[in-house]
Amino acid sequence: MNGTTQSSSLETSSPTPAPRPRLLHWAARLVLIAACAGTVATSELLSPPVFSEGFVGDKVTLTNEAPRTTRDIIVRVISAEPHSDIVEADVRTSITTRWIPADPNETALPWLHVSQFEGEESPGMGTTATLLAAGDPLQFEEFTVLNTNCELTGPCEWLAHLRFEMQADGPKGTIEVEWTSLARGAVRGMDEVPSGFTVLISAP
Amino acid sequence: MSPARDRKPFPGSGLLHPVVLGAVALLILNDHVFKARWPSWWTGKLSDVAGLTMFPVLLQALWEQAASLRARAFRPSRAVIVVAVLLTGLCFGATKVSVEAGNMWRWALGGVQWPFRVLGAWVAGGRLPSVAPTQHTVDVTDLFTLPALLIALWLGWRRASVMPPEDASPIPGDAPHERPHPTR
Repeated sequence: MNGTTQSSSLETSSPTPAPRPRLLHWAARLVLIAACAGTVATSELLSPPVFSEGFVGDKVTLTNEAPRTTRDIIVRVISAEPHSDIVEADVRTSITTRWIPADPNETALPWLHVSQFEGEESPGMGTTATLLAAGDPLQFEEFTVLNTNCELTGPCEWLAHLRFEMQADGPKGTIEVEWTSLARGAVRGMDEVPSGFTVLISAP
Repeated sequence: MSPARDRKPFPGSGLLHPVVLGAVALLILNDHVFKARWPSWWTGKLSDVAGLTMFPVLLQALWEQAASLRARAFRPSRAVIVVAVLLTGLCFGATKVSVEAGNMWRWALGGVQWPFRVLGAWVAGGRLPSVAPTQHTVDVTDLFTLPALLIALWLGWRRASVMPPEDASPIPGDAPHERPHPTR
């Protein structure tokens, strides 16, 4: 028994670590470096954003008979220098709505749903608001990140949709909607945008 | 007892736990492969979960490596992992709820990346890059990933219980004179 204890004590204080523990020490240092590198490289640079000019869309009129409509928005990013870096873009739309009841004495207010999306609309997307009293403007914003990745090797183009829907079975009247969209583009992995980098917004 | 439980902890050994190794690998893969191929909300959350799992253990390992330079014996400390978990949680939470804290993080990370970008530009013969902020999304829903810190806490707590407090192990250095000699 005594011999066993002595042997164990000598093992603990041995001047030369066994090859396996030594390997483990180096493995831990290697993982430490990999983890530090992984943490530092976790996020790419993003160039300062470039904005489009504001695009004023055509006025939308919704009625109980025609309670929904959709408008399309095209966002294009062009650059004089082609790059393999990915462009990030988004579009923000400011919406102003007014309720005009068919009967001036009508006190009930309808709701309006507005959603902005790229591709397919998902359930629960957008904003539903109850309009203010007749003639009073109600303002809100819709924001959409344009998710489809695009490399700046050529022009990038995204199609976003703006869908309006009023309460069809609500009080009789008209909702007028004015909207203005602004697109923003930036390049991942670059500290400044390449020359000729321009963001354009239009309707088809 | 399993061989893993028999193995005595040493400075930075927390990083060798399979869960932490997996988190480091997942963080690197997700940031550089998955996010580019499948950009969506879940790739963003995956990085947060992997980062929160491994980052406190990384902080603990850095502390242990630094402390081992002047210590002759080592045993893992529960206080260090608790502080690392709290620090990670507070900083992560701040950058996810506050635009100002998020911007500080973007510039800090951009500053740390800058020397590497300078080196890359110098090797490639390009222009000298300026310090620029990185991408960062201030998103309160990312706070749902905070429970991943419990994994780091559990690993650190369990690691400290492997060795009784009185049983500190000597630190094997690289030079023979750094090691304790047998006294007999």
